[in-house]
Amino acid sequence: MTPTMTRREFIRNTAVAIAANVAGLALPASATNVLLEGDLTQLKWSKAPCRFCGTGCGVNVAVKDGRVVATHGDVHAEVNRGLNCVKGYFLSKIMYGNDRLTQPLLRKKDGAYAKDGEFTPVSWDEAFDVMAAQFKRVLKDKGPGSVGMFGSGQWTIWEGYAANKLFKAGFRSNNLDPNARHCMASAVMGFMRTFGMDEPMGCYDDIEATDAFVLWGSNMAEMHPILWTRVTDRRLSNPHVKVAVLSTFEHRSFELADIPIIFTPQTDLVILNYIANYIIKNGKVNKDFVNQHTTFKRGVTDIGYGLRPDNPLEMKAKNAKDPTASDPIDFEQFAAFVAPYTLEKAVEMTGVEKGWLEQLAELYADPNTKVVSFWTMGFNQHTRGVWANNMVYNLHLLTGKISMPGNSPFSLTGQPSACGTAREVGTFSHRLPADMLVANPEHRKHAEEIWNIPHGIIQPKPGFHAVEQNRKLRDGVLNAYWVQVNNNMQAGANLMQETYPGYRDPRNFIVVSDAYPTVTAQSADLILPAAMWVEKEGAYGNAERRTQFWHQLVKAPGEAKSDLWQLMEFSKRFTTDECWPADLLAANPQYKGKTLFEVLFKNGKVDKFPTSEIEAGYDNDESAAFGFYVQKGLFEEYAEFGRGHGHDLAPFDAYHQARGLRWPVVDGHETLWRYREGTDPYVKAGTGFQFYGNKDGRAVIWALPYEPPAESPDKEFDLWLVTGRVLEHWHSGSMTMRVPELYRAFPEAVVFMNPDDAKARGFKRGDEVRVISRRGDMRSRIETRGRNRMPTGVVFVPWFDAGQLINKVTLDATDPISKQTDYKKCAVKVVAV
Amino acid sequence: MRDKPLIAIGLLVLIVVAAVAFMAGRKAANTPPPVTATAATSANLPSPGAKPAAEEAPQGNQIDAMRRGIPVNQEGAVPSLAHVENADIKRNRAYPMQPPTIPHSIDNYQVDKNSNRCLLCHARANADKFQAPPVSVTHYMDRDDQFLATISPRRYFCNQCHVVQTDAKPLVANNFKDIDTILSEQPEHKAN
Amino acid sequence: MKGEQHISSLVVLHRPESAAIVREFTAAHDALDIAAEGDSRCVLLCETDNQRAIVDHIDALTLLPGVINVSLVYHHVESADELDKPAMTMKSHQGADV
Repeated sequence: MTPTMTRREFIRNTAVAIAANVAGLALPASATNVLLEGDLTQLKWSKAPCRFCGTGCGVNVAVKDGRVVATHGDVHAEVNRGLNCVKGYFLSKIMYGNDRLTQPLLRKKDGAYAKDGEFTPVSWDEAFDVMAAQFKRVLKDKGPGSVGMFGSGQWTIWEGYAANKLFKAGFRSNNLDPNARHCMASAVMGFMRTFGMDEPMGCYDDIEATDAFVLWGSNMAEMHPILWTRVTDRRLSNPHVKVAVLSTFEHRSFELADIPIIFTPQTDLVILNYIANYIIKNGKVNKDFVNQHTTFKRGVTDIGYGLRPDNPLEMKAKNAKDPTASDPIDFEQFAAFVAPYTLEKAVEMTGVEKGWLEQLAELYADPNTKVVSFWTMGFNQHTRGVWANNMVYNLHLLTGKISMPGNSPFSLTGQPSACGTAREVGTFSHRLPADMLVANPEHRKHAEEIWNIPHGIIQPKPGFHAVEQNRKLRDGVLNAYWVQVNNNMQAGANLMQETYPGYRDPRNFIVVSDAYPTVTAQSADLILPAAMWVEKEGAYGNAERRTQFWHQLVKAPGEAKSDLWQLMEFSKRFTTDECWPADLLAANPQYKGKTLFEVLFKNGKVDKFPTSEIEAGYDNDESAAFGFYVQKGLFEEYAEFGRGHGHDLAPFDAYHQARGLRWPVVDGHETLWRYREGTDPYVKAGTGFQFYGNKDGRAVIWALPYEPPAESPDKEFDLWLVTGRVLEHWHSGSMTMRVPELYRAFPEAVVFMNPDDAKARGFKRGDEVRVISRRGDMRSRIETRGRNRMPTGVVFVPWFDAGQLINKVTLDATDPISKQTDYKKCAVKVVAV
Repeated sequence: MRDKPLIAIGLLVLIVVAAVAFMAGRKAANTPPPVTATAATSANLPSPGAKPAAEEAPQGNQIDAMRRGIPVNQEGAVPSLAHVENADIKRNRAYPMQPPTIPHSIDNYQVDKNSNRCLLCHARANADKFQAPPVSVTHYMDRDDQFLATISPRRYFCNQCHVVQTDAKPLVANNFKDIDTILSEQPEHKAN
Repeated sequence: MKGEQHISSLVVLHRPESAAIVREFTAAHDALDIAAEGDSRCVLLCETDNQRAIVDHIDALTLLPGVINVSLVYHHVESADELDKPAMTMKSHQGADV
């Protein structure tokens, strides 16, 4: 740096560089009077979506000398218009934690792999040799049902797609599930059961158009801060707008609440049916809409809690085997079904004051009030999560408040690509891309055609879902297991009884790909160092169906490689003869002797686009390694699944220009509100609405009751435990705990407890305690102040802290339909250490 | 941002050093030596505690500083609650767009739809009186870039972006380099 | 803050034929410099000694004929003394063992 450059000049340069980037202007020679040392200071700014939650904010990323040096909110991004939350503002630091993994680490003893060995740096060749030998051993001895993978809603779209092909077609194993099972599965099944098609009909534009927001088990102020800025903006700028916040404890979103509701855990189901009953009793049903666009069904009850089949609760449950069954009913039967859910009964069961319940019901009932319902984990992580989703749709369907600006039941997502990768690409153990199912022979055939593989390759039986994978690892059924972009040792429920014993069982070989040494990596046998975020070209899909791309902006450190490279490179080590049945190969001899890489990725489609099509000025390490534009080939093949079927994606290159586009993108136009004539190109003229996911074009209103939770406090375990997140940390904290400012803002997990509960147990703030359940215990400290105000009888412990693994305590009960864990309700006691 | 006198930097350093020293003492009982992934090979810590017969406990505990060396299947003592720094000294920012962290405690601050304790001091009209930095003019622009007479409602909840800092010492260091650092490293290899 | 200096940058959106008007306005105000220009937009640098003046400039620019929108992209405030010092490394405290 020349000594003549002052701080003023530096700041002026920065100001100009940022503004020029926003305006899309190159800096001309005439600007040199302010841009002293212009060549030195010039930063390269590129767009990318934020790495964290499902909101999908746009950021601009500045790169200098191969390093990310700054980020700021993208003023051109429709989602956030220049704002970020505190995590987003610190994005530039997430890749620079001191303990980035930079080479493969294998447990070795005396120079060879050993389950009880010590982590030792090895080459990629050695890592993949050992890993392939283990996968081949299991495939040969036990078959494809004993290999599996746990993926992620943080995978890029092409990574999830490549994993889907490698496992479901290559290894012929459907034991592929994403961690999105923990966060979105109930929403998915809710959509499928009501609309026959996944993902929200509306979009974030509903926020600026509505009259009322209802938060059902969602603390948006901390978990979706930028959407919360839009809600706050709407509420404070328009005094007639109302905000209702429902939860089992008081959190930051209550700061904006006009209707604050704290209910007894699990009784949200009662409130939902009470509102349906209120709408009917007060004559507020939109009869035209209901008659033309809906049908009614009654679901089976007593469906169990998704525990192991030999659990007494499961053995006792009448319909645990077929929890999705239903009977058609009519409006009168539905009205009679919800009639017992009176105001009196709701007050008694929920503990909520009657005035608040009536005000809430009136928001939905009043035909002149547009309503947006938001929900996240309070609904989805619920042993009746699918029901809760169905039941909130009931309210919008009974009143016709759906698919139009400001009237929107809206399921928020927690991960940046829970929608884009986990759901749309179909990386669930029962799914194929574009909402198709492995159990459906037509769907399998269609996928096999697009993938250019013989009919009969894809297995018809759904594989192990997330929770089942842990159980099968523990039981020694699943023996070769690959984990990418998630931290399930920290995130999975019932760590001590289910997750940990399975990972450390000598029968099992566990591979974990990650950027940092998480507790999951620490529990593995082989750790593969992963590239992250802008170290690779990527694509995410956010909660409002918006697909967003970014370029590779910097190199990954050391020998770290993207998950995409890992999946494709690993596929080279297997031949079809090792993975596919002999009779299928005999009937299709052209596939014989080929590697999985050749049949899955060098198939004439994925390798169709040359590297010369990569935008100038950007690296692309995967394409350089394989010799073709990998991401484009994978995306264009994947897009075949959805085009013409309501999931249309734009051409690949369009996404590198746009700040994301909301599918279906038809004739270059994105779709903001689905299922309504005029805003959705798939709806026929003259119909008004068409819920075309269902064959009859109608959405289903579901008659479903209240049922109790799997475990409730009793005399010994006398408190409800709720787990969740905090604003400053994202999920298991593997990125945010390594950013000093975020770490220091909230360094350790605590037990949020009501002061009276603390006093009754002789605790004061800061005391060290053990949180104990029937399954395990964890040490933490008491917090009676701060951002959450707990009612008596309920404690909240966040799960971001690897030093305090609250999932040693939680219960692995799931919704029997969605198989998603209920992390919000189990019984614990808290005792002094 | 370097908008503070050098003496303040000196003070901050002193405070940080003191905090580090304090915490080092406090955590001495269970703090592992600083490690990176490669160090996993250099030490073979015996895994303490009993383990079920069918399980092999991981040996590589030293690669996870986040657990302070405690094996995944065990529990260790929990550090005391960290204290919020309350020295009212402005801190550096890593890049100009980063929201400043809050250099004081905000316990019991009421911020809700009816009242905003932060703005009592930080609003432009009041900032002089309280010697508090006024909020940036960017905070007076709405979603469509138009200027408002009062703070934009989209910026109303301050602690979505601005957070306090405790005295907790990060478990893992961060190697992020700001623009200045990168620029100052340049002339050496430019050699002019 | 005494002796404060505000450095900000603005993006001005205008009709192509109004470029000259924006240029003229900028030339007439010491606080403003044109840093980059396109057909229908330009980047202005604004350096003032108080915050109010930035808003006043923006308001005045908005009222110019043919100006469609003015957005403030960047804003930085610091004491004038500090700004005149040489730009040096300002390594922030990054935590453990750095």
